[in-house]
Amino acid sequence: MITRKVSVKHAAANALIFLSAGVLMLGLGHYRTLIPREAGTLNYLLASGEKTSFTVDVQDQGLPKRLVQPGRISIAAPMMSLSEKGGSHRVRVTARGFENGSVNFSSRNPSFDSALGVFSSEFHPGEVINLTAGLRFSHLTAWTQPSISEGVIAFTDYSTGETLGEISVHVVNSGQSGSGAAASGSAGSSIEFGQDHSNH
Amino acid sequence: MNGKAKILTVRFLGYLGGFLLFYAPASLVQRLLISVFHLPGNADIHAVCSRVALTNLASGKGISVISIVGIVFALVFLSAFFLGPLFCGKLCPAGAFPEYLSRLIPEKFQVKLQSALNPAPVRYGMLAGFLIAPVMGYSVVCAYCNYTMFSRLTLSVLSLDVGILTSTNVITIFFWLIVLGAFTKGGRGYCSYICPVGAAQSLLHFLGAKFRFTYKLAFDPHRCVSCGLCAKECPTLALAVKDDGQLSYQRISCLSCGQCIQLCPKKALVYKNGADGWRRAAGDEKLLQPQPILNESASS
Ligand code: SF4
Ligand code: SF4
Ligand code: SF4
Repeated sequence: MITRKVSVKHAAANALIFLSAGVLMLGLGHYRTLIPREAGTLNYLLASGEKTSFTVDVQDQGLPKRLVQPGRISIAAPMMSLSEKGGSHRVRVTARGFENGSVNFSSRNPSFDSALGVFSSEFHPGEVINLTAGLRFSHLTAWTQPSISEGVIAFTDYSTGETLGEISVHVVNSGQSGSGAAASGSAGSSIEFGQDHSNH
Repeated sequence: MNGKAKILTVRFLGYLGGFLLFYAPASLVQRLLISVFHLPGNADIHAVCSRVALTNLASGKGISVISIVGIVFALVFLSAFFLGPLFCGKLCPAGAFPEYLSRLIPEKFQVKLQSALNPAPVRYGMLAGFLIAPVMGYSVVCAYCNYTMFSRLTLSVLSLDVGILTSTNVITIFFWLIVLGAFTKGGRGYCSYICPVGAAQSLLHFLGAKFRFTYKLAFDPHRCVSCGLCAKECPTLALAVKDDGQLSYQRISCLSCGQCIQLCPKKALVYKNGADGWRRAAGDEKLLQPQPILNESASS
């Protein structure tokens, strides 16, 4: 009788632990959905010379990220493509501005030369151009400055120099007073924040 | 080199092999499947990730068997059913890394977590949550992933840059390497409690072990002298010496790493097929009765 009581108690405790662990995993999933803006995602269409702007707020980062890497921001454009209206291009990406920081580009596309910022393969209209921009500033700048940095990410045709598109990026810290960062988030109609793809 | 160091070195070579097979920059499996069978995919760990396959199966999306992820998933899970979770025990460097790291930390600073908290309800609760999450609109498949973090850490050795982390990356490193790794006895806390791939493989092994034709760990109590060496070195604490000196085994927590088999000075532990119940004597197909010194754990 006593043994039975103990085993019922044991089973109940295990069931409770099982449920708690399941809820914990769902909670972790939910937490992830609360911080999609810590890595911005662009859904950008490269059309002749189109300009747009994009504001990133380091306060949108989750606490663990803000503690460990507040000044490192990833902006991913996993599904960027050339406008159907234009022609085919060999795309080159460059950054200018970002005075107190640095930018580097990477891509899952094997034809991308990250040192030159050039895709060696030619893209046709509608074809996906996967690109991630990594912005890097000092921790101190990211923690203390209301306006951390500004710059432009420009896309050109590597052969002709024709401008395909430009994204003005403004990195702010809305936690600092007078940041003028109330308008943090997406500003351009062709840009939106989405899920974090930086794991890949 | 003493016996233990030799066993750890041989195991390390297996994990190094796993690294070369599945992880960039080598990714030999992916490259082979891409170049010989012209299957689409990238030469990185994501292309073979069984987490993705499990999520796709759970969400009804399914997976194609004629794909890189489908082939690897089938091999990993079929081998788990027939032979035990060999991917975990012999090949997975992401699981082994914190185990080897934990060997650098003095035991007095480590917690015997698996003894204090039974891994089974936690890991299967986590697995259930992992499989239900996409249905509820949460994406946990790449978040909290130690494969991703291991890949990034190894690639960062070449570039001296770990890249840009997300909050979920930071949480993963903290638990996988530090709390459940370096400061957990055996260093396999992440494997024991969180990893969905390990949990699914162990479940298949647990079920597979019911059939005579499958391979599993077996124990000969006549040979055992209760030295406790196997339990002391078991990375998941699946083997434990109870207060009364009896040895218990939790098949559901076992990685099939084979370390206990190699370490046992009396050859009391063997890996073989036959009837379930790990108390079979080597070469003896019938189940033996519990001996005065050793008792079978209820969960084996
Ligand atoms: S449980 Fe997961 S992390 Fe651990 S060894 Fe197995 S697959 Fe690797
Ligand atoms: S019981 Fe043996 S094979 Fe299983 S995890 Fe422990 S040491 Fe490895
Ligand atoms: S099984 Fe082997 S190593 Fe384990 S306690 Fe018995 S004799 Fe020692």
